[in-house]
Amino acid sequence: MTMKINWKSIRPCRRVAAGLARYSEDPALLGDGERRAVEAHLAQCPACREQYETVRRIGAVLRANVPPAAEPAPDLWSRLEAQIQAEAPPVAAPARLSERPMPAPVRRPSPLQWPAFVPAAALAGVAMAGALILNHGGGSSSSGGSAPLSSASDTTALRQAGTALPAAGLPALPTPSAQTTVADASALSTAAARKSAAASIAGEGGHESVAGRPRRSRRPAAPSEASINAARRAAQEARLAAGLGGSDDRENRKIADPFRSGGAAAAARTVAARTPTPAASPRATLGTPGVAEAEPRMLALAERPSSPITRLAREDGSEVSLESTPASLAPDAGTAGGSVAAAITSARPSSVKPGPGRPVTGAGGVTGEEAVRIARGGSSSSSGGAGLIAASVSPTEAVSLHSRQRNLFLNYGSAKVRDDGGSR
Amino acid sequence: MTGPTVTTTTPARESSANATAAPVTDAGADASLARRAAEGDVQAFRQLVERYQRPMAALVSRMTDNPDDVDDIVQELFIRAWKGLPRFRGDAQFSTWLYRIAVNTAIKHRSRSRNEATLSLAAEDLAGGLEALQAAADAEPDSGGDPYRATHRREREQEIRQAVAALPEKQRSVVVLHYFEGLSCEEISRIVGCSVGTVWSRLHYACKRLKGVLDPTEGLA
Repeated sequence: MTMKINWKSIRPCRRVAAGLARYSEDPALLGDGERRAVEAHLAQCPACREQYETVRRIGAVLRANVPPAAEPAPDLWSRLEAQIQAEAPPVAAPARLSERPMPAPVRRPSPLQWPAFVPAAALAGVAMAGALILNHGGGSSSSGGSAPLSSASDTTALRQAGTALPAAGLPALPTPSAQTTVADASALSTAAARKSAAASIAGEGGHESVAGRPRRSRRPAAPSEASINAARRAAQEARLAAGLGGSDDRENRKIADPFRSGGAAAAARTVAARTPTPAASPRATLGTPGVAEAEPRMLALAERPSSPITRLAREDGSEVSLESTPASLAPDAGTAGGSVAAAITSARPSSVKPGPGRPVTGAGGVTGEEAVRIARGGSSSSSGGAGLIAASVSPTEAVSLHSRQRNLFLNYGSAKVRDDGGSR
Repeated sequence: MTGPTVTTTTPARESSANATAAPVTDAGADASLARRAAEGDVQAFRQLVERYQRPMAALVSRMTDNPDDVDDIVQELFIRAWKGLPRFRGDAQFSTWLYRIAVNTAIKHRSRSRNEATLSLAAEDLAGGLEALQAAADAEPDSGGDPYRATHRREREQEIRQAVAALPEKQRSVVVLHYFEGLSCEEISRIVGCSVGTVWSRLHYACKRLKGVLDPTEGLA
């Protein structure tokens, strides 16, 4: 037997259901019009009337026999506090949560905090200077006597940094011209910064071959558990160094997982994207060895500041591009940005035709002096020219150069990551 | 610290003397505390816990089968709330948000332990004998010292608890929230995330099922 449903009779019931619910609680909850409509519907609809009566009768029984409620445990809060503390990430957590001052939800550091990033910028500059030595120093790099740096130790440090670069599997670079010397590094930051940076790079290069022999394959193997943990720690440190405070262990776990989202490279992106850096200064985070360890080296080519596109040439010749807001890499001579620009090294032979207002679109076999000139704006001008920064840096460093720009769109290979200003 | 009481008094709430007062009034203070807690202020979160621990324990105790699990579930739901506070946007009231977490946590816990224990209403509660009668009379001050009346009441409550526990999850949640916790259909719709009409429909189907189990004429008023 089939039952025919009279939809016309059901629709009014559905329409009145909400009113019926309120009517069953208290007719006074309804306005006059709605109450009259509900009552009229109940008068003419036996199904709804039966429904209403059932709910009313059973409801009365239930209300009259409410099961006793349990009291909360007297030690509920102490247990909660203990669990909150126990689950707090170990690295970034303050000593005691109860003593933790109310953190301001600031994602970006104030300008007063920016000087904290200057050393990192200096590190980037020295890294690129290392690449310069790599390309142009050649056999003469052993003595360091010809390098017009402020001190021999600086030269040595830079060369140590430079010798670490080919170990990462960079392609053989063309023989540089004689004029390409570290004289261009005169625009680098202070000698002390260089020393510390070079030492830092040399230290970071511990996972590479200092002697210049590549020890890693081009495509890194899956990181070990130790390297994953190191990446986690590095991410934490990066967050702390960036002044983000707090910690997100889940996120660190995620970004340090080499089998998710591109592995360590994704970790580099995420760390960099979450690392606040001031605008108009180069960003480099060299203090993330755990992350950098598993990454292939690549060449970073930064176009002039007015261009939102920056290309990263991989060691295998492929290119990825970074799209960011302008001025993320302002090669302003005299500043740390200028230091980076001055540390330009030629990457590989190609036709580079830089000029004022004309973006550089390819890696260039430019000399250091040319690069400085380019960075300064074609001639002696410090603005308006096309800037080229070609340096051997890791993805972490390269991406860090562009990090923390609001509305940063980061194209890395086929993946596109958007960082909307550090919002979590 | 006692939680704030409900502002709108409905006949349903008047008639359910034992129903837990739902703290829905001080929404502004809740929102402020929630905002501070979301920023990591543990003391603000502590105030929220103190404000809501009683209604949450009541709700959980009525939604779970095993009284021994209540403390664990309450703790878990507050931990969930603490972790979720940064994502709490304040679109809904904090109480609504917390009730939703509580219902979900209780349901999740119940489904997790369903295979472990079935209706683990403590055996000692069902134990008969004079001792039980006396204990019931002692525990029921409103029974007038009549142990048989007290025992009957306890049995009745037990019967209702079992009948409600046997309801499908969605219907059970609505019944507990409406009849035991004294929340209105409007509030329940926000907690459960459905329309008022759907709440009414679930109430109706739940009552229809309970009708077969409970004889309303025997209800103790």
